[in-house]
Amino acid sequence: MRGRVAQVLALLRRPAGGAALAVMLLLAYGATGFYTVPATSLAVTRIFGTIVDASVPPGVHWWWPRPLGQVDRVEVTRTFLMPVGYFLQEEIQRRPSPAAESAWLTGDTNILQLRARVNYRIADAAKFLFDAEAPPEILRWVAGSALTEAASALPVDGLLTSGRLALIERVRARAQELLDGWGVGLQILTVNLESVDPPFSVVTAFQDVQNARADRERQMSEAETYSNGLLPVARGEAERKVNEALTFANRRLDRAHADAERFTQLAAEHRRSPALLERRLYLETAERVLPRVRRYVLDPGGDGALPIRIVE
Amino acid sequence: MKTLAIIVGVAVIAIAALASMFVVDTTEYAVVTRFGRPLRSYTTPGLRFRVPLVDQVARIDARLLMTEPPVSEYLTLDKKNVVARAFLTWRVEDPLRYLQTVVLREAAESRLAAVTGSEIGAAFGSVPFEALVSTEPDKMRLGAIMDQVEGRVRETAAREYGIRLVAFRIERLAFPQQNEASVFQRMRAERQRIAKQFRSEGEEASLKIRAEADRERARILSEAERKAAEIRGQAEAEAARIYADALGADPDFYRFVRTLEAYDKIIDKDTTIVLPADSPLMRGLMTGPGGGR
Repeated sequence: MRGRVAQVLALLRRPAGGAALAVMLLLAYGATGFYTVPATSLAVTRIFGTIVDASVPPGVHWWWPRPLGQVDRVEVTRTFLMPVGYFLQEEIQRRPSPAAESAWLTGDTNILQLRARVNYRIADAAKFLFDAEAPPEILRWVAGSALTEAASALPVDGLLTSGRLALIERVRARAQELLDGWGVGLQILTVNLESVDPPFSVVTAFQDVQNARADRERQMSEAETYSNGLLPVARGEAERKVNEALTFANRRLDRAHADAERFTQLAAEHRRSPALLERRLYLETAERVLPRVRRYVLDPGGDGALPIRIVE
Repeated sequence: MKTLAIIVGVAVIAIAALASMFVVDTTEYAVVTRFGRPLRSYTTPGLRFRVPLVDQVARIDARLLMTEPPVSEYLTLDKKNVVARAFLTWRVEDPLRYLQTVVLREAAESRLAAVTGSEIGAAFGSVPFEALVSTEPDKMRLGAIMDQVEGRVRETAAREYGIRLVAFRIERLAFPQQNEASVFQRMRAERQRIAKQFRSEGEEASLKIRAEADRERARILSEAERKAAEIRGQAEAEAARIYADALGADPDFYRFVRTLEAYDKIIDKDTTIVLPADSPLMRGLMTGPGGGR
């Protein structure tokens, strides 16, 4: 050790040697100033605490090493996630996640379990690094606050069904507006509502409303089915009745025409020889009728009593 | 020996120079104090100087800081209990004043929390519960209430502690633990009412659809019957006209023919006919040829 100090002192006695050592030390110090910026990042350089370049692009660069200067890299292309209403797995060690964390009041004073996720990116590296103590944590609270503001103006049924998109858009716009006003350097990309559930102890009651809604739909569709089954049959029946009437009408007219025709021909014959035809018709009728009846012939020879002879 | 003296001299000067220099970072303010008395403050970053050994440098966080006052319960104008979880974002604006009044961040936070708590209490106490939670936009005043508390706390913080309050926000509203059971009870009752309503609506709609279908069926059938009757009627009328045209040409002969037809129809096998022996039919049989009239 003593030998080394003596050597250095000896070196320093020679002016050239001292200068060489100083240059070597300076070069060694300067060499620690090279740094790389990954493709996903930007770097911010400071000297004596003052920001010099707030967006050093990816690549290899040189900057004054500590204690004169400082370099900070920020991942500006990455999308970060921030849970709202619950904690990530790695956070749970630090903070327990009670059910209350996801309980929100709705405008009609119901309680809903809401879990949302905010996707964000770092929009301003310098602001993100130096302007706020914990930008992501601020983001979580701001998003929670925007969710409270929106949820406490909406009814529970809206939140459970059609109101989700409106809620998400309100939360996103409101949270971004607040963050921009505070200069936190974060940009919200999207807000996702991961789950919307009634609290555990009233789940069955909410489920029953779903069932009742389904029952309503079912009853209505059953009635439609009944109606759809009934009306075509009725239309068929109606068609049948009309067709029957048409068939009857045709038959009736055909018969009328036939009868009329027959009579007209008969009448023509009658005009030619009335007595002959009348006699023939009379006898024909008698022939047809008399064989089937029980007939009695009354002899006009008796006087008062009826001497009857059966001609059977 | 002389060289050593020079080296030591340079070293001492260098150490003194280093000790008199300090860096103020972009994230902080610095206040230079001499024996505890503040001399000057720096609010912009850069290389600064002080007298070594005599002057102390106090550094104060210049960034936007967040404070979460303890969650507590408040009473609204209409005596409803509400639990509010709020947060504040703030910056030190006047480092000297901040250093003189609060010194440490924990102290600043607890004072801000105390002021905030009492302002929330005052604000909530002057509005009904509906102003915090309501589906009616003209009753809902949560935003205005936050602005009011923010304004009050900001004023106090700036005046007393050299702090600029950036924002006050309510992160969450809730019912106190002991009220939860009754809230759930109410929610359950409301759900039951809605479920019942859905079911009776379903029944009503179903009955209505069925009744409409039945009515439509009856309408279709009666219309068909009417149409059928009309067709039959027309056919009868037409047939009557045809008969009338044909038969009208020789009514006497028709009467004769029709009478004969009627006999054919009227007389069946159980009919008994009494024929006088001198009837035209019998006479021929009884009296033989030539006996006819």
